[in-house]
Amino acid sequence: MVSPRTVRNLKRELGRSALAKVGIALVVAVLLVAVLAPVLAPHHPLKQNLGESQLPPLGFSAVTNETTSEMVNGSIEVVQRERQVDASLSHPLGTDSLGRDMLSRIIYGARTSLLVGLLGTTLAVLIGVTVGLTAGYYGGKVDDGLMRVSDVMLAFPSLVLAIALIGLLGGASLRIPDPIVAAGVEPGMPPNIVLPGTVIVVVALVNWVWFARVARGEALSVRSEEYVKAARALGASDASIILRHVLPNSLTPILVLATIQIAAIILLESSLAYLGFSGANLSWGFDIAQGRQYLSTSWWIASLPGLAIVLAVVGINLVGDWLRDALDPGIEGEGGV
Amino acid sequence: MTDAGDPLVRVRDLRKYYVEGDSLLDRLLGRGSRSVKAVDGVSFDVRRGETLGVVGESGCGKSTTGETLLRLREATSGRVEFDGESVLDMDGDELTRFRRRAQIVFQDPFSSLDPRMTIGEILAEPLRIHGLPEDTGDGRSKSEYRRDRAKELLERVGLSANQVDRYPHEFSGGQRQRIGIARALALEPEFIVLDEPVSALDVSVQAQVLNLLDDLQEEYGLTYLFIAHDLSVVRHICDRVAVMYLGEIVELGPTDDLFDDPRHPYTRALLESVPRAKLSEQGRRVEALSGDVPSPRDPPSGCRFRTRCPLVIPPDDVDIDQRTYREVMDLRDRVESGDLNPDAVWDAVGDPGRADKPAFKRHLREELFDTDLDGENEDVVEKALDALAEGDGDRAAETLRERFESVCETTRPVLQERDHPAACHLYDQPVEPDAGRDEAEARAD
Amino acid sequence: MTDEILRVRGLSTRFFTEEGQVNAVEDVSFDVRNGEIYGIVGESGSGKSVTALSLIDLVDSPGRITAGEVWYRNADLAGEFRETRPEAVDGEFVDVRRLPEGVRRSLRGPAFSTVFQDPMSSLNPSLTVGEQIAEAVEVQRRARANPRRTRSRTQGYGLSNLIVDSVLPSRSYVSEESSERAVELLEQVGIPDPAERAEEYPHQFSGGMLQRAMIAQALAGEPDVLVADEPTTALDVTIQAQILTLLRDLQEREGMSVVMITHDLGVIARMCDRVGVMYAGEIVESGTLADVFENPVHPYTRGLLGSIPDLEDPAPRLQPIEGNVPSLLDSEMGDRCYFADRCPMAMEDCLTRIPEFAVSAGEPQGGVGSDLDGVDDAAGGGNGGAERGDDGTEHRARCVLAEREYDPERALPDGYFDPESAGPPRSADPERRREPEVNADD
Repeated sequence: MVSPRTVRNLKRELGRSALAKVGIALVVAVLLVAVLAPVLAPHHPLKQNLGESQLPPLGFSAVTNETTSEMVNGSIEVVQRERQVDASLSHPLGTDSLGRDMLSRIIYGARTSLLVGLLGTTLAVLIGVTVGLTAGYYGGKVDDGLMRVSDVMLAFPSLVLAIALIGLLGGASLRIPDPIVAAGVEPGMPPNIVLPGTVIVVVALVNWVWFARVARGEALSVRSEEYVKAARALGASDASIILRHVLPNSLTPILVLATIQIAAIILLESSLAYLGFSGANLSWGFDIAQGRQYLSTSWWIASLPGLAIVLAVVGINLVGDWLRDALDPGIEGEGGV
Repeated sequence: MTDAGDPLVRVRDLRKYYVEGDSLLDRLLGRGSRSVKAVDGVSFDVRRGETLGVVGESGCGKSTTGETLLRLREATSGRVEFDGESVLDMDGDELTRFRRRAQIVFQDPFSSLDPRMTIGEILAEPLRIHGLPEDTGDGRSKSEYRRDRAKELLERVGLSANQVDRYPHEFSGGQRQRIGIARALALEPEFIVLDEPVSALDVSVQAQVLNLLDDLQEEYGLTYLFIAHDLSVVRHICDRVAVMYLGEIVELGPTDDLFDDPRHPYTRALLESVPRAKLSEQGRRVEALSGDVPSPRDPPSGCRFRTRCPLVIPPDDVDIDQRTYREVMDLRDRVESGDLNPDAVWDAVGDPGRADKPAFKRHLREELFDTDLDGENEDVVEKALDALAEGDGDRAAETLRERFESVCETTRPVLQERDHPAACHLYDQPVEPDAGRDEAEARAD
Repeated sequence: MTDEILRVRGLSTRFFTEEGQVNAVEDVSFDVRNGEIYGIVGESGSGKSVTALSLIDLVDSPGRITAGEVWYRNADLAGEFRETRPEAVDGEFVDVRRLPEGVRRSLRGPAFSTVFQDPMSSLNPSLTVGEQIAEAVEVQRRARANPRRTRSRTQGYGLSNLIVDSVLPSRSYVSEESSERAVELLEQVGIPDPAERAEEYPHQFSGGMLQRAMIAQALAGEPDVLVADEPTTALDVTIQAQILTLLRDLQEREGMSVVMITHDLGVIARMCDRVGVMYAGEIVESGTLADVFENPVHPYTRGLLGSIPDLEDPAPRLQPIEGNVPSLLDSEMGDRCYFADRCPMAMEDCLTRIPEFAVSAGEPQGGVGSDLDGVDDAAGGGNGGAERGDDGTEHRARCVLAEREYDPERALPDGYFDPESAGPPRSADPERRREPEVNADD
């Protein structure tokens, strides 16, 4: 399906753009981190250690107000004392308020984000492309009907719609055994990958409309190409024309949109987690929400997951830009004059 | 039919109307829909082994005719018979079988091949769609068989078999058109609609493709419906030619007859207009048709060509020069369509009080008439202008119509029952308009 | 003796694309006489349209005119620049390409004007047809009032006017006279009810009417030379006939010269006095219509004429030119006659670059010779005003057959240029006849 010409364009565009290289590096890094989380994480991400709470990242130190109760002159008094806390080598990015290792949490958070981003986008693509291609290829009343539905969807703010849907569907999540842990490589790590099922379905339901719009537009233009007419003249069925001609020739913008939507969905998931609707307790958004109240004393609890989101989203968007430039339909397809 | 050669394709009174303004939004806004009569009752036969040309200018409905008779567009009404079977009634397996026997080649060599498929895949697709071969019979797998067939087809159309893995964009326009032809041949059809197959090609390449089409027809005994706008190409390749204008066939005949003795004024104008690539063409003054093709949304009554025709027939008792007649008709057209606004004329005269009728009439005459009227023609026009000056457009139109109405606008001419018919009132038409209809329909059955 | 209005010498235009250098126009020379219609005919990719653009200096990036002169006869300009820019002046002629940019620009309109193929995209859909023509008139009127100061074209239309105009859309910067002149022009090009049609927008016009409006716009500056680039290609044959008749009438009435660029030899035959045939960026044969149509020398010209089906007297079989139009990529062109690989009469002599020969005399012409950079010779001597042929013939061909008979003894073997056989070094992928990304022609 990928022509040598496409590969050539991808390479040429990659050679030309430093940003594309940065994007790919970021995305590959996030992917590796997510896949190898049990190996890379130094600690169990959920293990609490109140004795080591709010440790700052390496290179920083922090002052905490420690509240202790002491016997002073026979009565118990609450004493506030300022304490200098130094970073610990075993927690290079510090710990959160419950003493959980930030680095491990961010590494595991990448899994949630990517799973939701990839699966949510896949589901959105499936729904959106099916609807869009059908509407665009058949046109007329089918098109009218489907596109009105999508207009209605677009009229809702996505976050509000997502929260409403979660309220409607409940917050189920799936637990899948982690293959790395199951293989006995890192027995001390969480045995399951938590898949926030509802969130995935919801972000797909919120985002499919974009794919439907793009797919419809592409289908409309591909439909009028003479090779589609030729296929009909040869006796091909509508389904086979859509699958063999319309879909492959609509894929480029859908692919580009998908990369951008992965980033958007990661953000949406974080927002949901931040607002407490995610159902996952290992998520960048969830950590930001947790760290919010400690922002004045322990800035890293909220900022580091935030930085992770930024890096992932920027990386994915840069890859999207690269694909868009390289697969530009103006370059692809028609080669002759 | 006087000629031998039994028809492979019979088309009778085929119509294709497009409905405009029928979307949800239009209906919500209460906008009425209207139909565009792209093809409006065409009838012809394509005989086995011949090439029938369909020629006409853009928008005349020639491509729509080709696509409708292949069921690539649904006909509004009419009959199409292919080898005795009714094409428009086919479904399922019948239609699939029909698709194997009737194929099409398109105009645009750049849009007719899927850019993401290799030439091998494109040429194997017809076989794949029809599940062919049922059995290769020699141990080759189906996909091997299809690939070999693709190579065979490539060589047959003058390309090299080792180009089978290339993509369309690696070929020139002429080569791509050859691939399009190879695809149409893949199922060994009997009938191919060639929809402007050489229009997008340079002349030197066009000649190659025309020769190829000639060779293939001879080799496989193909029947062609050749749609084109280039009359030289049509003359070269076709056995018979149908000339279309605004959704109708206006003349049909054997190629040499039609080119040497064109009957319909439109055919004559077309032939006159073509620039010949010869020294004798230098400085030739062409009596060009005036005006544009009217809109198919609202075609003229009677003969559709009458608005541009240089030979409109005046009533028997009216003696009038053709140019003057055209001016009188234009005046009436403008009055009837509301195009002529008396207010604007008064303004131009500079007499908003509307007192100076002679000035009003003089102004209109200067604007509309280059020729001189005389006798009763003059009196009638004067009366009509009087009515206009009084603001009574209806009476003006009525006055003019009474004297000047032509058979060309009241009666739609039909093709006669003969070898070289022309739908024109200059050639014996049935006396009663209804009789003409009946006859045409009787012929259709 | 010099009745030319335009002398084009050694014009070369190249496009610098990612695929490589594209030689769209290569060393093209021709004259356009006062009041004649000069035809340039060629297939797609022959460089004819780029030649048109080069004439009027409208080649856009990545294209550039790399060499050549366009000598335009204008005694006033010649007088004005004789002292300051002697290299740009020769007799009554000025080399347009060596004039200052502002002057060059001011020549578009009163000196050169164009009509393009696609009238639909050449007019602004959001302005009325009348307005657009009136604007062209206004520009010329102001330019005349204040000659060759390009600023004058937009003078009097400052920021304040721009603001007022956007607030009050009815206000137009064209004057009453210009609007009246626009209606006159529309009438001249045969548009009925010109005053009313002037108020309409381009989409309300049919293709033929739009092309008439385009011509009216081109006439606004009363040009000396009208460059018509495929003016009837997008039109139906009956409408084409109208437009061709109109162009000829206008040309006769206004006494202007027309450069008619087309792929249609029929249009050339009807309209032109003299003609140049282009192939692969070069003019391969030129002469009077009779020379080229009745007595063609170059096998390409012969092939082209043999490819066209005859309307009156159809031959049983056409004689096409085999093969495909070459890409114009510099790296694939090679140092030989560009037509040799398709030529049925290619000889060993064709493996070097071929100069232009005068057909009767059989002598290489002027400074072109076998020296490919003949451009420089012509430029150096300042002989832009010189006659091209001294022997009086105008029939020239870039083909050895102009000076000697075809000799089967010296013919190249069959399949000499096939990639499989041991031919001259060619591109790695010679089957690939894809044209470069830049659309060299349309």
